[in-house]
Amino acid sequence: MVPLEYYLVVAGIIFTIGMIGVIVARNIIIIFMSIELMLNAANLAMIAFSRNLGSMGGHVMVFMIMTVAAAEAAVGLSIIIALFRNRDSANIDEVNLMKW
Amino acid sequence: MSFPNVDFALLSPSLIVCITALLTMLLVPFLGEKRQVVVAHLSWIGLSIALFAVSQQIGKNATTFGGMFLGDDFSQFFSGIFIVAAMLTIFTSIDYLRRKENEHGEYYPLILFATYGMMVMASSSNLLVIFLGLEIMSVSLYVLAGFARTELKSTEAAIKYFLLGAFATGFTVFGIAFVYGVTGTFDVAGIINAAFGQSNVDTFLIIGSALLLIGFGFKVAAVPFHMWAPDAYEGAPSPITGFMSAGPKAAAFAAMLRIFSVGFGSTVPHLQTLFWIVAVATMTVGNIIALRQNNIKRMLAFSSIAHAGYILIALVVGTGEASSAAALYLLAYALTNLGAFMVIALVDSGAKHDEFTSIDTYTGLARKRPFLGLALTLFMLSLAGFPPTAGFMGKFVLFKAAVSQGFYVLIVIAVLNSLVSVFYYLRVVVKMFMTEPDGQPVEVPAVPVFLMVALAFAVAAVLLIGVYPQGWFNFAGLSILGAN
Repeated sequence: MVPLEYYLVVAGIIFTIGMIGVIVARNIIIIFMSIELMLNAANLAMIAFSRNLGSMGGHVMVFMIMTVAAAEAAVGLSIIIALFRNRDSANIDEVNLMKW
Repeated sequence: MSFPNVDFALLSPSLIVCITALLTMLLVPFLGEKRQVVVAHLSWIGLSIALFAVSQQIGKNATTFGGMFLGDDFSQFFSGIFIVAAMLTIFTSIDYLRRKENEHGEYYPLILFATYGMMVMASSSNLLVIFLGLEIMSVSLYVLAGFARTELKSTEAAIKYFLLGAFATGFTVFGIAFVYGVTGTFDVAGIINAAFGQSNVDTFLIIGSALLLIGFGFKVAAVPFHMWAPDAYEGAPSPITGFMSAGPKAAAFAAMLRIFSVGFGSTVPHLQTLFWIVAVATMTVGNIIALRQNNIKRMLAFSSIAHAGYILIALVVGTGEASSAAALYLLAYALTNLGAFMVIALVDSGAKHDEFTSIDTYTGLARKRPFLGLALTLFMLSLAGFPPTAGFMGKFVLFKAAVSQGFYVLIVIAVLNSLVSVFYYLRVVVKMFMTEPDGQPVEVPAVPVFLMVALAFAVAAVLLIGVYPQGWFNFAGLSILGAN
């Protein structure tokens, strides 16, 4: 059996990639994908812990997170479409009407 | 397989809100464009029934769903705040949406769903349920922030709120994973039992609580996670800005009080120091940047960041007295801010787009409309913390709780911060009363009936809590006992 630490390291790496993606990427869709990556890293960690502990709680939580991620995707993509209709661009640098 | 024993009476407040939301949502397409306002009236009727249900559940202090749903006085207190906030927002919105020609019925069910999410959030000490409540609330609010979908600013507010909110969700969930991994449970009480008394605290628990802190820091807009708040508040429709500053903030703090003040505070080292630094940074940054704002919504956004800083004091102190003071503070702040945003929404609705949100718009307002001017003055004084208003009482009990535990430096900083804040709150008052407008003053629409009722309620409540805080404070105190 693969030890728990391996899963956690992979989850940590995926989470970090997602976090860096949110900060570095300029396209809103890419940022959104990076956020999904962070959620999936959390799912992986949750399942790994759940297996390690022999408890089902983590599995339940993962289903909840997947549902929430789907709801967020639906709302998020509609907001992105509304934004795109208004300004013909999905570049986060151009969303700059309000600062300071 | 047997059906679990569910206490429906205990669930009734949140169930009523949820069912009203579902029914009104289904009703919207059948109403036709001209009659969308029916949804608003059904919504506030549903909310008042829910408020009645809340009043019936006070003092029960029971749990259901195997301890996942808590019906203690703490939940009832906060549920009351959320329901009143939603009702006042609906009263403010009816005329606002009509004047902005954005009358879509979906607006009201979304407010109800957000309220439902907040109630779930405040009614559990289980991380899974808190997470679900948080998301029900947030997803509805993302849509509401972008509700004026043809306005550039509104969509911009929505996208910023959404991206940073979802980013914060990532941290929250990852944090929950670590806490669960160490303790094997999502229940805060179970987490404390598993972690307490061990000589060295598990590294994973520290990582987990730090990640949770980041996630909730985003939600309450604590420095350094506050950057979304001013943009989201400025761009969102004015009634929604008021709602966002009152409800979700109270909900996030309710969850934080449950998790950190009652929970992790004693088990994780250095957490208190961390809260100290975040509280001081939040109030100072919020107040200082608010000084140079010219848009009233943006100014109140920074003010709401500063107020989050004051409330964080309760998490530093961590006693039951401080927690009940924070509950009273959140009630006072919610009513005051909603009241202020009623006036702001009314002034804002005089123009098609967002021309009427700068502070200069308010020049000479009090001379033309003395009652509106006086109401806004009262709310500004309450935000600044002058007696005899609710804001003063909130600050007073909170600072007193901190001083009794010996946090002198923190309170000196907080009081200095309140002094700074007086300057920008009174700037609005000075504009309204003492400045001559160049040319014609801005035309403010007449106050519609529902807004009149809501405004009178907010004024009365702010004064009542300011003059007679004892009853409210006792209720808040009792509720905290329930949470422990």
